[in-house]
Amino acid sequence: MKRLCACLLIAVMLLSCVALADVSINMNGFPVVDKVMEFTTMVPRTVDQGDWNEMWIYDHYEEVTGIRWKINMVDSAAWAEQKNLAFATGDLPDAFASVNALTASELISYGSQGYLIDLNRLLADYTPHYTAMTEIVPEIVTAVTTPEGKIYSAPTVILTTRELDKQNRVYMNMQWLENLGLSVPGTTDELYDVLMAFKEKDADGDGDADNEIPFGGRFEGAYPEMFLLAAFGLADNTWDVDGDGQVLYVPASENYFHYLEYMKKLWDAKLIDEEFFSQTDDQFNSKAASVKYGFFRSGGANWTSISDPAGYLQYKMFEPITSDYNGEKIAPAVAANISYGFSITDQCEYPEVLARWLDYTYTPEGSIYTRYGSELGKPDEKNGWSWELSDAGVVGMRLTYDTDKYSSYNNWRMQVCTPMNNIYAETPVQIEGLSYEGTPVQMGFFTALDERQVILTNDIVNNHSPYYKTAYPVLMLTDEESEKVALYDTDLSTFVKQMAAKFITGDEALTKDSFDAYVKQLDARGLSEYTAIQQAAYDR
Amino acid sequence: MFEMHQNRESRGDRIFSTINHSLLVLITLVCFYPLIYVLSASISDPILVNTGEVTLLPKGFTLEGYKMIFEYTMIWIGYRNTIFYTLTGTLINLTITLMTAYALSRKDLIGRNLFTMFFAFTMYFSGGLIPTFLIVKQLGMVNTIWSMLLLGAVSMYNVIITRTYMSNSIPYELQEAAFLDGCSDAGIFTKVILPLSPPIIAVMSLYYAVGHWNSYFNALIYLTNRNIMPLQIFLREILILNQMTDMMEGADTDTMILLAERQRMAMIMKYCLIVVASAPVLAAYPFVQKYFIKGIMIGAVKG
Amino acid sequence: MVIEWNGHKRRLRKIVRGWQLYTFLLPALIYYIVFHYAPMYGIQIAFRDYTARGGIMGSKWVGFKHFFQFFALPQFGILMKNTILLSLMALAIGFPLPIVFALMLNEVQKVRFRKVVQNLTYAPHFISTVVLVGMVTAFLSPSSGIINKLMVNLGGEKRDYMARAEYFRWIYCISGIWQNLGWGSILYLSALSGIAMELHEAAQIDGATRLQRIWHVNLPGIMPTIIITLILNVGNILNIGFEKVYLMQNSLNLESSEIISTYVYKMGLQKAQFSFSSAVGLFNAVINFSLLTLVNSLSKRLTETSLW
Repeated sequence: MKRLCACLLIAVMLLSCVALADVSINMNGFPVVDKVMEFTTMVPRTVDQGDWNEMWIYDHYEEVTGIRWKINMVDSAAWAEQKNLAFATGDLPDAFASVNALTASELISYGSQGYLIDLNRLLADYTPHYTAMTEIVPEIVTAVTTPEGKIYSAPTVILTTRELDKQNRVYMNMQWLENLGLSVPGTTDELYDVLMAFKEKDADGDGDADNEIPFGGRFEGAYPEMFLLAAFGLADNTWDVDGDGQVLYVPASENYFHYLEYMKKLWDAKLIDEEFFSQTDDQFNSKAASVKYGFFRSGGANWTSISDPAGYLQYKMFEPITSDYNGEKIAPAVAANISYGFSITDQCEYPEVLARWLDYTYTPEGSIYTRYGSELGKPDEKNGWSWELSDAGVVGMRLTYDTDKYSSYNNWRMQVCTPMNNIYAETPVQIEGLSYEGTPVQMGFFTALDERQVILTNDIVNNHSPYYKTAYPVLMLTDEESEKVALYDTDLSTFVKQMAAKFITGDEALTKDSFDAYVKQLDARGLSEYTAIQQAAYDR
Repeated sequence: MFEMHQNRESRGDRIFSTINHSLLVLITLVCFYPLIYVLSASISDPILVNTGEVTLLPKGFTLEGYKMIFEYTMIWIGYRNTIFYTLTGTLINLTITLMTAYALSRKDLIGRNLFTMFFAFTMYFSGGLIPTFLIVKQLGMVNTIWSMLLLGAVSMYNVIITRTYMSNSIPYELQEAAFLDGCSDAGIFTKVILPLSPPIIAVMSLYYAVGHWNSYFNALIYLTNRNIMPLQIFLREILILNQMTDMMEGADTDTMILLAERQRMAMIMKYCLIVVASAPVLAAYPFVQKYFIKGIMIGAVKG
Repeated sequence: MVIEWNGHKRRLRKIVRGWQLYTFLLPALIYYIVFHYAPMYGIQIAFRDYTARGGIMGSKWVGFKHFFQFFALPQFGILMKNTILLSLMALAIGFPLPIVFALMLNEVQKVRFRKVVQNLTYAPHFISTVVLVGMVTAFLSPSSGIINKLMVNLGGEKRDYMARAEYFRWIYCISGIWQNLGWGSILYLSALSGIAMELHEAAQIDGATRLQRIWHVNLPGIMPTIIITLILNVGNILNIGFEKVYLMQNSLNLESSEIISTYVYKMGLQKAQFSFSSAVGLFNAVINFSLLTLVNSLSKRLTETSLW
């Protein structure tokens, strides 16, 4: 009996040895393994996405790296619950391979519980391209490293100039300016005058002087907050750092007071949309689409809803403005546009293999293919497009997809081509075989359908990028810290917003004293402790 | 003499009638207005709708929303599944509810209050999603139709309402009479209770059926096989697209353009979705209605 | 002793004889035990610091920590006040109206008219919350909403109703009635149809007017239904709907519109805290259940109808 057991034991041990020795990993290139290996992942999926399993890019991965992904497409509506259940029941896939699948606090929480592997060693040993990139932009490492020095997620990194702009795209109707013979404002006072002119005169030339709304936006959502705060010297709307390395909470700072004063001035002069505080997203977007606004912020460039060129061509961005309290033109930006893209769970048997796959997505070729889902420079009938690099160093695209079947190029892209949700790095590195003299790649699309992309890129690059100022870095907090912060943050941000609304509309008088009282209230609600936590994190 | 009384309404009654009728017409118009609005909005240009230009009649006629919805083939599968869940599920619901309500309506049932409390307690206290999920998983019901049909098989709220009806609208004397005639409890149930219950059965069918029709949460959690998913899931997928724009401001430009397009689509489809989702139910109601109109002639049931 | 034994024996016999009734209860019993009582151990989450690693049983026991955290929130008082006031108002306004509506509708003789009214009034119930709030916002919009246009025509002034805290509860309740009047009356209509015809005939013979008949025949006839529904609704006071309030909230009406569920949701967006939201949920449940039992005993004493 004993001998039988011993034999069995040895047999089992031998078997596992064989299994490990079986996989030899190619450290210097691709493919990574000799035989195709399969890995599982789960991703959220929206209604207009096709099945990732059938997309070209995953076939491409298999071909190039020898790794096959088996993807469980989960409804995006159910994503949060399914994610929690997966952790709760221990039924995890090998990896989470889509952007922002897990939030920062989830990464830390589940990571510290051991569900996610610390990627430090893997990234150091197995992903040379990633390492090269972090040498150019060290902020990447800070963004993904937890306070305990662990890395639970590899990032998706976007470094092209256009993408570093932070929530700051404001548009002014240039046509109206021209009609009234005004020039683009450079200071807050000039902006005020321009808005007044929009209101009082017939800016759009239709004979009615009253139907223009000078300042558009939604207090609960998109309005030129960042742009105006920048005019007052603040490079973010929550946390900022002053000259001495001291962290400060923007809504409690001195210049924020002046910003509120300015907004109040605008509100009292009835320059702001009267439904500013209550309108829904739909209402706002529809008004923007009807060319009713003189000045508004839009995330998706000036064509969020304005599909008619006659409409959107009237709007352009312009340079940051200054004010009496700040003479520097600031365009809030990030050092690198980083999202958490890839985590390996403790269920994965061969994390080293996955790390090598990950490296592929950081190579110039891999990252572009991942981003665009098709091969550069080769006309591809199956995928319906080909793309090339133009002389100016911009990626140009030729589309040949079926325009009847798919309502737009994005629609087609989502269905057939790329998940658009994958890990990649858009970096200023040279692509083999194509040269562009080391200037940052301006990724743009030039097709008959998307001149708007060109306009947007030019707008940002010309007007904002010269004045980029990095706002507060992305920091990771410890589990304890984030628990405390969770309690404060909701409270503080709700209160800040409430008071801002009251100050602007005049429900609450805006004086030095009332502002000080408001700051004291913030302290009472935990601001001082919150600041201390942020300071500690910043100093790390 | 009888006829004279019945034919001649007093003046007071006639005034009452007039006022009653007028008020009802007014209320109906006000309550029905939202539906007309939704219908109009579903075939109007969404920008006009959102800037308030559409009040009653459609403006900027477009069928784009409907087209987009019906081109989404999963919708038909969703319809099929939801009809199945509604019919089968309601049947299960009714059976259990009626049986339970009857048993609890009998004042001579020992432990009656105990049972009621036992069941009602669960309306307020529950173990939460994770333990329930684990149990469902252990029973092998995950990703099967049973998670849709068996979870929520009974609603204590409905049982209580049914029980109330049975206690109050069905005279106990009838039950006693049947009992004396040699009927068993089950017999009383089938011969006395059920025939007198059409109004409450109608209401319960409606409540449960609508509940099934609108349900999506269980499907969200327990189903991954898209072929057995109900209609609401597919509809919600489309609707959710509308609500994501604010959150994604930090994303890169390509994503933002995509979201802007999605949002435009969702704006158009929003109202059409309501019509598509509720039309069948609204159409079915008239069939259930007749059970509310007439009163029941008690005398007809004796014997 | 002999009497007791006889008493027990009689009870036992009664139970045995009533076996059919118990069988009737069996399906529901099995259902509740399997799907509701078996997972009940999960309530503990409120008393532990839940982590996925520990699971429910293995996570650290912290007693009432989460409850104290909840009570210590600076917003706690406002949250409770807003939640209760909103619920009470919704109950006070929204509960009687469907009854009145049902009574009115029941008096209509023409079957066709009744059918049409019923069909048209219950339709708004099917409009999703998102669309309903969108509609309400549109109607109340200062620039283009019909309510404001009406006000201006009548000589009043334009107001951004959605942006004022004092209007919030009214908007919430009235839109609720608008949506649910028809649907809520269905139950009462069916109860009304269950009232024996003979009672009506007797009243008519006695020369009662319509109003008198409503008061003396109809209303008492459906009183048990009314009472039971009222009791059940009181038991839901702290659970007032999350989705609609969340959609109607904005920074200016937050003083009235921040309720327990919306606040806990916002906290959950920061960091998923199972234990904390579980604790809040449990707190709500305890209060609700206590209210329920209270109202139930009151009802038992004052009327003959009660849940148990």
